Amino acid sequence: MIRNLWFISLLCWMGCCSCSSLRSGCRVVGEQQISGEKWKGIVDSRTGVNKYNLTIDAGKKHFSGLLLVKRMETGDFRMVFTTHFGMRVFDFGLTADSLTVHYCIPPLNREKIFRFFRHDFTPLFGLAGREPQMAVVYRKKKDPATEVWELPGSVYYLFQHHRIRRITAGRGWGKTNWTFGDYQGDWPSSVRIRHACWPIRLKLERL
Amino acid sequence: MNILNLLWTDMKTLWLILMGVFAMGGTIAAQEWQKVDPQQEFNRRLTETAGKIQSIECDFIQGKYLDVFAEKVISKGKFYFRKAGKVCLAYTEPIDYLMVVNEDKLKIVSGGKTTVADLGANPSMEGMNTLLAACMTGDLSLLGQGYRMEYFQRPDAYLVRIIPLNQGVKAYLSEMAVYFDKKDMAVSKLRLSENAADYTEYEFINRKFNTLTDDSKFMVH
Repeated sequence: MIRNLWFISLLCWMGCCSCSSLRSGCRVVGEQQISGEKWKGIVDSRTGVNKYNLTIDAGKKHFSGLLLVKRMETGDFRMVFTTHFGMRVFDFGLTADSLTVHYCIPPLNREKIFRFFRHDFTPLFGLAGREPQMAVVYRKKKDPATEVWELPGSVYYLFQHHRIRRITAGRGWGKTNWTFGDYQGDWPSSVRIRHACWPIRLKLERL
Repeated sequence: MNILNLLWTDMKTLWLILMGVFAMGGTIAAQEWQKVDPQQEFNRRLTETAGKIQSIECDFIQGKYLDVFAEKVISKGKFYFRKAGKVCLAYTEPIDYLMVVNEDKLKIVSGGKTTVADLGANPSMEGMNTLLAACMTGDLSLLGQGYRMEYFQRPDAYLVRIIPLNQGVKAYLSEMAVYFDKKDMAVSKLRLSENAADYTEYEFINRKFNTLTDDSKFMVH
């Protein structure tokens, strides 16, 4: 029994150590305001409706469908998730600080689920519509093209060559990672969302 | 002044012409689908054809229309059906995605991962799948009570409007419209309406009958 506990503790310690900070190997270069210009989000407003293949892995369960996102004239984002065979799962309106439920299928129609989606999707839409915030800017000593911007509340934005590569928010077990890749022009084509403690993984691929 | 009068006369003429065109269009549209009694011909023809068709293989084009975006999202793929109740939708665009219903099992292959669900363990899921299978294959006898049906026809097609009465189904679908080609009584188009403005439409083209000789397309394990 004690042996097992030691083993679990060791695993936890190794897990914590492996989540190294984005700031490691960086030095502070100053403070700057971060706004919508620095992080525009994944939605290309010029193309109308942005289409993604959204896959959700929750434990051993795998689910996928089409996520349709559009920046409306009001500046808000409208986000509709449908199954591949066309059934609408949810229809949300997102602003910088609120989520409006226009439709949701009965099994998912729960406040807890809405909070989860709001938490995971809000960082994808950039900083437009938010008050500019002061951020501490770090730069990698070995790679000056890599910058980490630290915001209050343990939120970090990692940029490489002015393109976002990763966002992390929260600490320890409450930490969430958003990883952006496969850039086409200014827009990332893939996003992976991972949680430190929840076995739920989301992946978006631009279609 | 003369020019203004001339313009005004021209506008009046144009307006009258437009009104005439719309009125004619309205009359044509009203004439296009006529209500029919299914007992007269539709049921007999459907039963006759259903008896002959053992399998269907065709291409399909799926259009998802969302009023809020005012845009149709198009998907394409292959549709397979084999008696009794085996359905396969193999999407090729925008991504590869496979859905197979074989008796009480549902298989989904997405992103290289296979999920098999037991429909018997989930009555609402089984109900939705039966409903979709009935509409896609045209075997409306699969639908039990709880639906109101209205029948229409035009020279080349029949239209069956299916309105769910059950609140559980209504939460997902407000109406289904199944279009049958009069030539072969096969489903040529299916529209699933979520509400008055949002719908998914499937068009079934290049239909081939009785070409599937085994269940290889419908394997769930």
